[in-house]
Amino acid sequence: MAPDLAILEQDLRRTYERARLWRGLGAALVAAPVAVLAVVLSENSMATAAWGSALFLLLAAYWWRGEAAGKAALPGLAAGLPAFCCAITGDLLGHQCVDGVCVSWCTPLCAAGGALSGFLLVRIARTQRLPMAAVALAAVPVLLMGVMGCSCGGYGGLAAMGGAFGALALPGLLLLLRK
Amino acid sequence: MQDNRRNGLDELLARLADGDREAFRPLFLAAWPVVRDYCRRALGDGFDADDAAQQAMHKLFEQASDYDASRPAIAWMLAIAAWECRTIRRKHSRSRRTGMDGLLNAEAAGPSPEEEAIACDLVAALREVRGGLRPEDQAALRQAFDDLEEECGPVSPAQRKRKERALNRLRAAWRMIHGS
Repeated sequence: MAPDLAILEQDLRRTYERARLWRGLGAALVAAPVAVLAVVLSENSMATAAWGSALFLLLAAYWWRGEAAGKAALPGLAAGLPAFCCAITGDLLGHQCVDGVCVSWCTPLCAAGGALSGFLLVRIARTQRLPMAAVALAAVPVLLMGVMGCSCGGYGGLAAMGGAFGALALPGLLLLLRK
Repeated sequence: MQDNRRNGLDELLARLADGDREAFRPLFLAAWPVVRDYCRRALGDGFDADDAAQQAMHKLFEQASDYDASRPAIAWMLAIAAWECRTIRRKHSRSRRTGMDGLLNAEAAGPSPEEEAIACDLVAALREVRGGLRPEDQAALRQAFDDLEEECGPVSPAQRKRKERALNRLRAAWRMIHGS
């Protein structure tokens, strides 16, 4: 007896979605080392773990969904690395005291990391010819990675990182759009 | 026409690999007849072909996200279908082999009266053919299969050679009388 094509199609859809979901979850494991490192180094490990989990789920969802989101996942992760690394470095350096005035390294390094990430995202978007939707979606993992590292600077650190990222990424993207 | 169809499949599969769900239904409708016809050609019309085609379609959509767009989609699809057909064929040959094992086990339980009668006929025919050989060949065969089997001791090269020559003559005589 020939199979019922409507039922077969439904089954195949489920098979396809399930396979994509597993593939997305597997691929999102690339974010695990970053999240684990952030949790180990962070003072507020619970909050950092929550942000790390959010990053993992976001990347899995991007890879499961595919199209623009799928194209955004890896560039977002790559562009987020400077923000994360600078923030972690700031966290490790603590603060510097000169003539009785102490300055924390965290906020300036968060800002620097944000700026670097913004620059890198524009560069990746240009070289890979990413669609605008993908670039916009890639900004989310970048910010999540920055947030994971910048917990040392509090809201000020987060604002510095986000502001610097936006200040470099937005003009670059506008230039790309005009081209 | 054929090229258009191939290009269409390539494009649809590449879109689905990228995550474009809109390509799902057109790809399903285009791929099903190709895979089903291939399986029917390989396994004949029947349940096996339909089973293989369905399995192949499941594998195809399971692996669709890993599809390499530089490869022709039809070759990729047919490779999956061929694998499924081979799996079904292998399963069948294994079940046939299991059936043969069953027969051998039944044999181990002891010969049936019919089998005993056949064996007796064969032995009688063999004796008849052996009777037509030269006396020294008869002696060599008797020594090789009757005496030596009982003794199970070492066999000299001369005895082995005599046995080989006698066996060749026995085979030739058997073929002359009974054919194969």
